[in-house]
Amino acid sequence: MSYRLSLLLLVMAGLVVAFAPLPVQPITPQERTFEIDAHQFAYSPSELHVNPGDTVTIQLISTDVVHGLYVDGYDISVEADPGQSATLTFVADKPGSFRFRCNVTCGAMHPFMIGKITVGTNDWLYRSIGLASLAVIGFFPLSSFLNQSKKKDERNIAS
Amino acid sequence: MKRPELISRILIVAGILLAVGAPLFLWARTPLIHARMAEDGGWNPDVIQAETGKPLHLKLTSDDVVHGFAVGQMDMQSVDILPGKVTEITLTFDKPGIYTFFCTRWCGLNHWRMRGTIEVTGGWISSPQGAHPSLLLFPSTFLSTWTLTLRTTRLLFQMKSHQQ
Amino acid sequence: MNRIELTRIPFIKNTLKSRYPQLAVFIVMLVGYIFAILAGLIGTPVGSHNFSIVFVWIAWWAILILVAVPFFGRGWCAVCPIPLPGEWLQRGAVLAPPDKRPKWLNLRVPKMFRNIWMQNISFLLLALFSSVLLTTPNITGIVLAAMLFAAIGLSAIFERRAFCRYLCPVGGFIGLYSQTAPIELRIKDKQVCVKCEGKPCYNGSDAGYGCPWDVFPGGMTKNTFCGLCMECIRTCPHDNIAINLRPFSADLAKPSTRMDEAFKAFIMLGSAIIYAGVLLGPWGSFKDAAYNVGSGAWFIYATVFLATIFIVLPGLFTLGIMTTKGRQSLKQRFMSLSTALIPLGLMFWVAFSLSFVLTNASYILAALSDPLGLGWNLFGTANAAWQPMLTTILAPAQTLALVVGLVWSARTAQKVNEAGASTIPVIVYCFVATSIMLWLLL
Repeated sequence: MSYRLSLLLLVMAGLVVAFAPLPVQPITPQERTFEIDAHQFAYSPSELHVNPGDTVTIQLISTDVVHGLYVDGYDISVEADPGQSATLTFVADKPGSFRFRCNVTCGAMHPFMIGKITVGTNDWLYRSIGLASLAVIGFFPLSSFLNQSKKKDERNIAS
Repeated sequence: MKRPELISRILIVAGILLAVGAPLFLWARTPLIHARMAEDGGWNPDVIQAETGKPLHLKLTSDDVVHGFAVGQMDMQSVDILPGKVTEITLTFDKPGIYTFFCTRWCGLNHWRMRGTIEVTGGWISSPQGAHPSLLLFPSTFLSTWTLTLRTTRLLFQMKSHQQ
Repeated sequence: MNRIELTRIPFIKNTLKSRYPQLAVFIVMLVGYIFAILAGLIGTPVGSHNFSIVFVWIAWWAILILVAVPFFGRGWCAVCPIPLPGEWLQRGAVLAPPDKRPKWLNLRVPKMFRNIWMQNISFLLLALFSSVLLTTPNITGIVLAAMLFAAIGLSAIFERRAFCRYLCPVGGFIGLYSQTAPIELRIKDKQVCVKCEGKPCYNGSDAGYGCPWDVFPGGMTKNTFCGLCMECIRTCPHDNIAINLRPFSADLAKPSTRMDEAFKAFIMLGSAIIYAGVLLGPWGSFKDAAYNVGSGAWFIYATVFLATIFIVLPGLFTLGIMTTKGRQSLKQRFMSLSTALIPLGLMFWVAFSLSFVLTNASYILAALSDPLGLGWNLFGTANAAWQPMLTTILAPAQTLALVVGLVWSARTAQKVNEAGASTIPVIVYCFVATSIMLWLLL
């Protein structure tokens, strides 16, 4: 098998791993509510898990100072004063893992006040590990091709 | 010393002096009231001087979390003091005395301790019709819409008390 | 070996050789640096609205790790303002030398310190305090000022750029990673150097100064210690020095043979993994431990940090390479195979930095208009809202960076490996580290 063919196969395999749609289990969407406590500089709970299509309601309760909650990927947010909880409701239509973070300056470590919400499964993580594995597996045959062709070049130059 | 060397040295020294001097100068000229959580000092400064009839122009900033500002004994909307940003507010007092200002957004367990005072000296300014004579010395641009509202409110209260 | 000489283009050569463009850049950088110190010391204590935090740890860091290091190697060192005041005082001039009598002590750095261990230590010191450093303006201001004064002090005692070469925490990893860059400064013809009398590239001449980085250009085979200051291009009487475009990581084909550099690779790898977990993860207790310097939790954090870097990562690496036998000693194989961790570490830092840079880059606009938090609005952007940028491409970009890093490391492992031994342990090690990083970031 030539170098070009192996490389092409590898790239195609990579595209499949990265983009091929996975079968989705049809789970009826539910309504879920979470109470999240926010304090300097963490959320509690800091990791949430919902199913795709669920209607998620987050009740943000600040226990010390004013905090916010902004969801990456969904670009929605809410802000809560201590003593006055605030609610954020959205439909989790985008699958995957998203970080949520504080968007109201609440002290020094504010930029690192982070939590994580996973809608369905964190597919992109598995695909990425799949791509890394593919890269390692495909590396050996491809590199032996490169080494062979380099040796051929060196022999040609010598002769 | 050759010309280019001299010019270069002048440019460098000028640049350094500018980089040090300009921020220092501008910072010293901007008196800010810093808001911090009470555990870290509260308001700084926490005593402000003012005179009746003279608009008190305040610049407030927060050094840590979201705070708020309001003055007791005055009818005003509280304003938010945001971390790293400056909120400007102008207050005018008609009555001398000691006014208390305090934080209006919860900022920790000692939020209720976060207060300071405005010491207002001078005479009573009570003229229900029109402006006080001494105020005519100030150009009208000095009076913000806010102080006009304040004076009108005071006026209404005084009229009401006169009626009773 | 497929090099394209950039200095063959007259415009490039003349711009680099002339002292004026370089001086203009130097003045801008120095003024900006000093302003950052002032902003840190007298500006608002709120990091996200202070010029020093935003322009050092977001803007400058982004440009450094995403552009300067991968594409220009030690390109930042070429424009860095830190050594300048000390160097100008040391030389007694800003432009070309009036005379070459040393103005200060000009001592040679003692042999014991002529390695990168001091840089490893200075980087680790900053790393252990990074949560406080990255978020507190006056600490950043103090550290920036300390580096400036340390550089001036070292220039008064030692010859050349002692701070840059032996102490600068940033220079330690820029040097290591510059080996991956696609540009280099090298001599054109070795025979010309052999016949050259006086070696003005190293000793200086009327046209310029001897290499401030204590490098002999004639013998330079790697980018690691060349700060791209262009002095040698000015002093070489035979026009024998060139800047070339070259394939990525050409230097890595020659393995490292030094323990200090091997451990630098582990320091960078370990700190990227730990930062990804502590700063970007959802575990609040780790962040508290990292931030509360001096507390019991912080001591545990510091111990875990140092143990990971000095024991766990190198230990697992050594166990792995012990499974295959070669003719070289274990120590030699450890040092040369750790070269494979250089592209991996670079990509780990790229992937990690992309996250917090894209999330917080919007602060740059506000900090530009109101650098001290005094209520200014110089460019009208003081009220620009915080808004994460390019969030849809972040995850794919991180995956791409990490997978490319993995393949790059595997290739490097092959190139530095001695014939007969297997590269599989190193590649498996890189794969496991990459998977951990993917899990932490995605």
